[in-house]
Amino acid sequence: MLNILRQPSIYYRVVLASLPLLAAANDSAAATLLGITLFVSAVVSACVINLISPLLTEKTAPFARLVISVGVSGIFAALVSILFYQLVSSLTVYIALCAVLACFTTQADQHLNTKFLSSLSSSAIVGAACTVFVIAGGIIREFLGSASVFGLDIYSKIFTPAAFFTTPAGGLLVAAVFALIYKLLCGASFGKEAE
Amino acid sequence: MDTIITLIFAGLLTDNIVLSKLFLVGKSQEKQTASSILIRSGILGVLMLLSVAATYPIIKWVLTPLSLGFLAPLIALLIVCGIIFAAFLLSRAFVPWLYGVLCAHREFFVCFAAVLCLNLNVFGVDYITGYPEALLYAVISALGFMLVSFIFFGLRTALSKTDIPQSLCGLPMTLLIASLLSMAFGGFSGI
Repeated sequence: MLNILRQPSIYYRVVLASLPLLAAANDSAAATLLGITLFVSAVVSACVINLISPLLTEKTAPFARLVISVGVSGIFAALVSILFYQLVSSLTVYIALCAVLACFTTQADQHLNTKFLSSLSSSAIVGAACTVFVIAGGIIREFLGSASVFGLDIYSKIFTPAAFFTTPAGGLLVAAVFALIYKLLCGASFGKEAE
Repeated sequence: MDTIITLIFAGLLTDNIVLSKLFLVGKSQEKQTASSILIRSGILGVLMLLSVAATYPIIKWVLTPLSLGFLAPLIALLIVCGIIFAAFLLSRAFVPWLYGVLCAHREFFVCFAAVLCLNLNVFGVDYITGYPEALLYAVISALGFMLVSFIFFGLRTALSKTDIPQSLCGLPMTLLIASLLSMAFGGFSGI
């Protein structure tokens, strides 16, 4: 089942859907919150699309399915914003963006006319890959940029941390390294397709 | 006049929506021609302008005074999706080529428009003091996207003539370029 992550299209979706959240995730706590929100949004939207697929027809254009995914995930994102308002006030934009990224990640259109468990498992795997990408990126950015992880000081008294990694440029550099590692791990099946 | 100059610098350079906010590089920046960049930027500009025009009054003048700001993300997302859905229906009826572009890049357009609307309305950007400035910022953000797209186009054209390691080809190299560009654009913040 993990072979789904070796497909070039999934590689692109995981990396590209996680990039906007890396823009916000310059510390571990923010990355964890965004990663979990994205995962839950991806799974919920895929499941809802799958459950209501008997009501959708060919004429219900692909965009209608996007709207449904955004609506479901947006409601969840709004709930997170309400329940954790003080914590997420600076992340509200990106929490909401999880709604859009969720359907982009799981390609909500693909969950029509498939079995529920198959839909659930594929969306969970892709969502989990994005979550790992975002959380790992946030942890590394905070470790290198602030010499701490989840607010715990690690080495600031020994070395001066590179604040560059807390900037957007640092986030993109971390994303580039992650994309390279992902491609190397799954590269045998990519060939020219991934370019 | 100072506000307009600040808006232009911010939208194009220091707060560029691609390199500072959204990071949506990669497939959206690869394998483009100059005409496709112009078309996509134009569509994005119109959609972002309409999205801001619709969401700004509702969020600033209705939700915020009623202490319903927590609904702003959901409302903004739904309005953006509604606008793009309307564009989708109209283009299918009257402009088939536009329908194809919207279909192929619908998540891309929704992401950009949604982030811009939410950024304006939720964060409360300091240098935007009213409705006209918000509309101008939407247009300038689209121009910022076009600027980054053209820079990527030129860099990728130059890189295609060089010998790059196979593992770096594609998305890793695109992200490295984006990182260096973001660093370069961040240097403008001192102006």
